[in-house]
Amino acid sequence: MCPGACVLPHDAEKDRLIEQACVDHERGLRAFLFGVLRDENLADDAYQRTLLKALNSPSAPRPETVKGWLFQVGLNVARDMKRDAAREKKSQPLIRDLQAARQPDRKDSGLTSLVVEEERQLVKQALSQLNDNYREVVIRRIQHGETFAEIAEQLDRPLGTILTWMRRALNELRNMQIIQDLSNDYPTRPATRND
Amino acid sequence: MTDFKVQPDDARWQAFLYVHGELSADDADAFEQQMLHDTELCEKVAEASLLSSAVVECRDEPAIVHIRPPVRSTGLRSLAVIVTGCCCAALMMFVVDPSDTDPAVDAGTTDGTEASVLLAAWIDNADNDDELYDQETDSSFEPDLEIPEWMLAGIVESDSNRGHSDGRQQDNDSPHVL
Repeated sequence: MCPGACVLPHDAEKDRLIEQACVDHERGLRAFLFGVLRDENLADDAYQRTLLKALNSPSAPRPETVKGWLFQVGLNVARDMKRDAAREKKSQPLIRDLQAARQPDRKDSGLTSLVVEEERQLVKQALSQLNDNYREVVIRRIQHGETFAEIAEQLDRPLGTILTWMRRALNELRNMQIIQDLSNDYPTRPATRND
Repeated sequence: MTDFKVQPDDARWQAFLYVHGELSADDADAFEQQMLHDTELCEKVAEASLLSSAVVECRDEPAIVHIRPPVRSTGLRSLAVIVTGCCCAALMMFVVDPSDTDPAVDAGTTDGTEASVLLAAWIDNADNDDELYDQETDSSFEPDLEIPEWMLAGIVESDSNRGHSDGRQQDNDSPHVL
């Protein structure tokens, strides 16, 4: 089959809409792909594939649903890659990947490049406002990569208590304005691009 | 496939568990199936990833306050207090007035009975201190192993008295002759 024959004609308006969506939601999409794949390199790859697949898609999303549509495309791409990775047994734990991403030579790629220094300071501030118990669990689970069972054993608390603390901590963090700002797409950039 | 179904108010928590690999394979698959039709769920996953990433980035900060595990029983604490008290008391007995202790006891005895025997022996010999001192300081001193006559006479007398009180023994037993 001739590759050129498989390329469907593209509507210029549709292309612009998708390109704009990719720019506006890059941060969220990258974070989403990273959450699904738990591997920075795979997430980077998935992001590129998602853009290509979206641009080459025969369907035309509506402007009001383009973000959701883009996420659906990304999820399908990520699931395919995940299945491939599972077959090759190359999946790695999230925490190991996040720690590796902190190395200076990897600053320009992956999810962590989306968290700027100013936001780190805001998150530190948010963590400091948490109850000691909640903060302990958050840091042990997310920073140190300990399982909930391990945390429960080390703190000599029931597993249910640890889960409750974690859940409350997440709710409290999410309710803080600084964390809400963190989840916004491109907080330091304009939301739309004028072509 | 399980009956896994994310409730709206539970979405953020489930997204966190999903991102951190806490869901079983079946639940994770079901969660992904829901994401295919729920953009908000996708956003929750993105949110969980961003938050986790930001928290990991804060790792160098001493934000953590280590919590000591709760002390569940006071029994061990009480026992520790009692043992410590006993040790202190025992230590005080030795430390407070060391001049009260007899050097002889310190050197050769560890038992209170032995100490009392030695003390009694010392009292018995108190009248002969000078003589003992002279004997001990005389390097040529040799103890006299001969039994004095007055002691032999006393023993014979004692045996004869006992023989009078027990007639059969007097007939069968010969007197002690030394």
